Amino acid sequence: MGAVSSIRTFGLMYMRNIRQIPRIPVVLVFGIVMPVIQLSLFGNIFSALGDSPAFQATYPGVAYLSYIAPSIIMLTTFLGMANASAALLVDVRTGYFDKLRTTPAKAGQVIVARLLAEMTRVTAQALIILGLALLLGAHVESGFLGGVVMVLMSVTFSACTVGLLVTALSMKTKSDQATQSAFPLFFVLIFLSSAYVPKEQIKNDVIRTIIDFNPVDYLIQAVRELMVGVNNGGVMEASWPLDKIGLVLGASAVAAVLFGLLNYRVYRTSIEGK
Amino acid sequence: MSEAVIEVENLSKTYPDGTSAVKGISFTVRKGEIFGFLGPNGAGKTTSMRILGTLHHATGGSARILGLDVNTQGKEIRERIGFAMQEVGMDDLATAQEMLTLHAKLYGMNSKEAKAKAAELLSTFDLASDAKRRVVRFSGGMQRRLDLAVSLVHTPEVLFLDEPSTGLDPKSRSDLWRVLRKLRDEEGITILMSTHYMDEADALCDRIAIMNKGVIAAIDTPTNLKRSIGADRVRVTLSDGISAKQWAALQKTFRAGNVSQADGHIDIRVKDGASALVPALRILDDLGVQVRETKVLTPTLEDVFLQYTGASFADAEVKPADPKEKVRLSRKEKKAAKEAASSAKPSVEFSEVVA
Ligand SMILES: Nc1ncnc2c1ncn2[C@@H]1O[C@H](COP(=O)(O)OP(=O)(O)OP(=O)(O)O)[C@@H](O)[C@H]1O
Ligand SMILES: [Mg+2]
Repeated sequence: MGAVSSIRTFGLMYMRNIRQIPRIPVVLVFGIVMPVIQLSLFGNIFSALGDSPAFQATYPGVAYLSYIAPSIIMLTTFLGMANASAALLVDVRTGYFDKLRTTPAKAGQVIVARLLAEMTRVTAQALIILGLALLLGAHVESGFLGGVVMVLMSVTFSACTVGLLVTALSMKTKSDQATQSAFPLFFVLIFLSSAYVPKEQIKNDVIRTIIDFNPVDYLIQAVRELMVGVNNGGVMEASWPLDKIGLVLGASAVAAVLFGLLNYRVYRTSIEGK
Repeated sequence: MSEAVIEVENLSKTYPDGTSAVKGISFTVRKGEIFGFLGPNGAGKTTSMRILGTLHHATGGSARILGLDVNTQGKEIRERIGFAMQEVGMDDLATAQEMLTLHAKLYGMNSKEAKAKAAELLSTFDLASDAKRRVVRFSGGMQRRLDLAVSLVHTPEVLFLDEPSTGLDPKSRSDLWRVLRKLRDEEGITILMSTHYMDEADALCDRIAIMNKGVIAAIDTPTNLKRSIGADRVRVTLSDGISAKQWAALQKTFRAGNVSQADGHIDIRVKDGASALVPALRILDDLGVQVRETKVLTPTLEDVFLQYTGASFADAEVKPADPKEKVRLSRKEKKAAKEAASSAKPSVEFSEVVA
């Protein structure tokens, strides 16, 4: 047995999950409806915001669409990973998750294969949104590679936080409704950030303080810097904020460990009944 | 005797919510046996099986499957057993063929072997024409059959079947029996199954454990179990009545506790109904009792079940110490008596028993 068979089992489960993604079309479609609406509407409705002197002082020459595109990519990955619970819950409720427990496949392999398949789906969805943003006139300062890194970072962070949390919730509650009731929490974190309005332009001190403590804002800052660059004496220049990227990946790793342990506990109590 | 495949010693399980589902059960199942769990709802059958299949942890006692400890060697055990749970586990998004090939591969087969195995099992369980349909659209019985097929992809050495025939139509049920017997006879597979069907337990199981309230109330072969709860009875339906004198003579011959009369018939408790029938009839004839119909009643597994799980049959037992006590009959016996009375072929059982 050993490592080879472990990887094989993992690969089998991953491919099974990938094959089944198109069979829950609701998740595929609804996962990008919101982001598409935001991109096409917000970019137009609030474009005046981007023309304001205050905005232009911080982000000279940047279109509002480019400013919010990274945030909407994040929204896509958050939403997408929140829906990672849907397929898992189908398995839990039909008893198939239990059936798999009778095989040599380990629960860890089954759950991680599920998360990675969902990450694959969410990556594809986020790339679609990025492509749409570019079509609508947004611009990625750090180029093609920067665009890919934006998406991957966002997917990784969402998987390690939202993805693992909904996985634990699904196993704990075994219910779609209970799991979905946690979704608004995730989105509040996006809205209480500089996602749609630069922090400098927010007057309320309380909200500014909240933004400073909101971990999601650090991700948005890193992703946005890849997108629009940094202001260098009144001109935007491409930038690779390695410190910020490192921070996000580090935070993702810490979240993965913490929430991973949470999942382990939930699995032991709710599924194994130990 | 062949080797012990399932060894259970004083096994117990208390769920986290405090429910004590299994309270110290012990038994051994040997290679190639079909071992049955019978018991009312909530007796602890599923709990016991899930512990043995390494899906639950025991809270007390020990159990070994194929010599491996269920609490510490789960993975090794899972590679060698198959488990079809009480609730089928269907991959709703997959087709029947996809499910089978995935599971075959999980046990190490390559694509070609997996496909061949899937095809073989699909035809064994009469699902070949549905191979490419999504299982979510299968009927309950089809899902049950697929679930069994999935549990067999790797030809396990031990098979756990929790109520495998629930929801199957009569043909599928007898097909299942045939498959299970074949597995036992040709592959030497050991099977631990639970069922609520007495005829199934009787026909299929080599040995049966009757579970009640978390303990094993009785454990033996179906034949021995039936014997254990009492004698056969020769039931004689009378043409006319019976005189007090004749009755007294009967009581003297068979001993008071062994004869009883009700509803125009006499029951005589005997050790072996088949061999006692003719002599009994001769005695009645000698006494001048007019006999219209005879019948040999042997205890059924249902009687055994009711006796050990504390249902009404226990009350109906004839107590030899009190000959005047009126014999009360279990529902099954009443039904049998009624059927016998209205039957056009009154001596079917008679001929069966004698033969
Ligand atoms: N997960 C659980 N948590 C708490 N109690 C449980 C759990 N599963 C079963 N029980 C309890 O354990 C007892 C035995 O249940 P079990 O499912 O083993 O019975 P069973 O013999 O299989 O019954 P049935 O014939 O209805 O399938 C019952 O009282 C049941 O309520
Ligand atoms: Mg049960």
